Amino acid sequence: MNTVIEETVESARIFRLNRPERLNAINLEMVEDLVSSFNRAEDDSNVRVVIITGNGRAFSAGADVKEMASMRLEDVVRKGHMPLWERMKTFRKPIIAAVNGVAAGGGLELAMACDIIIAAESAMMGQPEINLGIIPGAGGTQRLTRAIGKYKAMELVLTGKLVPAREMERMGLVSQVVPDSWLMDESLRMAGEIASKSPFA
Amino acid sequence: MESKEGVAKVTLNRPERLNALNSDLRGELLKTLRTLNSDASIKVVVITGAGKAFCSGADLTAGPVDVMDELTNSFHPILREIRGSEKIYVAAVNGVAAGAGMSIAVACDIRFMSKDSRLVTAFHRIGLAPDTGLAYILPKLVGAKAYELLLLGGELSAQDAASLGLAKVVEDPVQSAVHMAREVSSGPFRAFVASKKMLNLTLFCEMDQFLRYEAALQASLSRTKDFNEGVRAFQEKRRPVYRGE
Repeated sequence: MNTVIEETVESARIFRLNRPERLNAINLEMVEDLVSSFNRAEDDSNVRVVIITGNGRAFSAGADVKEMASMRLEDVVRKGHMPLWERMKTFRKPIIAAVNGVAAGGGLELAMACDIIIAAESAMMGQPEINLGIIPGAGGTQRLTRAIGKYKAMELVLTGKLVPAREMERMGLVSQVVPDSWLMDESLRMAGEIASKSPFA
Repeated sequence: MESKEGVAKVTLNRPERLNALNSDLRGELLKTLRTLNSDASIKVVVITGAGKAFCSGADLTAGPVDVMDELTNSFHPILREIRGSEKIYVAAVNGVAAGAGMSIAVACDIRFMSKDSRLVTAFHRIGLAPDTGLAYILPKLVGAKAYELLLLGGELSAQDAASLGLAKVVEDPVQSAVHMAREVSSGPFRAFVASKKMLNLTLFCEMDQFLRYEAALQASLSRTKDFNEGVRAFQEKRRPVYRGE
């Protein structure tokens, strides 16, 4: 089964993380699939905006801890997931994270690696790595700090707590909170608005 | 629309359809309100309905609609013209005010109601939730007493509305509204406008955020089977059968 389902709506390409039974935990297969999806979206001139969302009740619960347990942690961080973050860094088209449910750890880092975050009102977000005795290893400490400031970021990283979408909106990480039933509509609306503007700018 | 000595009277004029707000009427109403709001000679605007109704709300006979588009680009702008205006708005509720018609009446600064007039939420009957700011403005005005009405739908008689402090019950609402409008326009008008602005800040300062939320929820509801059934039952003049889907 493919860990990422692609769907095209007008000029938007939707990536649906598709490991719902594992709350869309990011494993090596998903990293590979996402990288291929980004490559295809980059090469397809009809695609102007990418939207990432999750299948099922989660956006993504983060790195697949079961898989990580069978590897050396350093390999996971340095080699395992790196191709995804590198690919997103050089990806030239705008990416919208449509956070449909929990976005924790690497899941929140994935959302923060996008350009805009729109969240369903029931979504919860945070960096709970501290509960496993590790730190956010994919940019979380950096991106969260830039988005919400050092002190709030420290609170989230040091306590590992998950906070509701509306609080993240107040803190400036989320640009819009919408009713759960309207998440994809709003994401597609924004994608359409972006696509209608100059891609060169 | 007629105006005299700083008082304008706007009459919703589709009496054969109980002044249901189809796209034409909404467009004309919005245009009229914008004109009045930018006219320095106008101080008070009285809104009423022609015939036996004040306004029966959105026109359900108009066929399939894009609820997000209608709320965002039509109903909400009308509401904003009334609330954001530096004029005082008086609703002369001459008959039933239902759905968005109730929302408009409640959005005005002052209400006069005839004895047999009613405020009817109507939305739930067709599988929708209250819109055009009703679930925002009414609780701010009357608090918890509006909760069940807004949650499950229902209606307020003119007497109910009066006992909530929401309206004054009079013989002839238009006459009373115009009479009060004249008094307001000949009084310390700047003080009235400043008071409206303060009340807006106290009560309604998060209205835009609310309206975005309302539009998204209502647009989602407009795709449900219940809404489809509600509209069809209304058109076929029968009782709807809802399944919660």
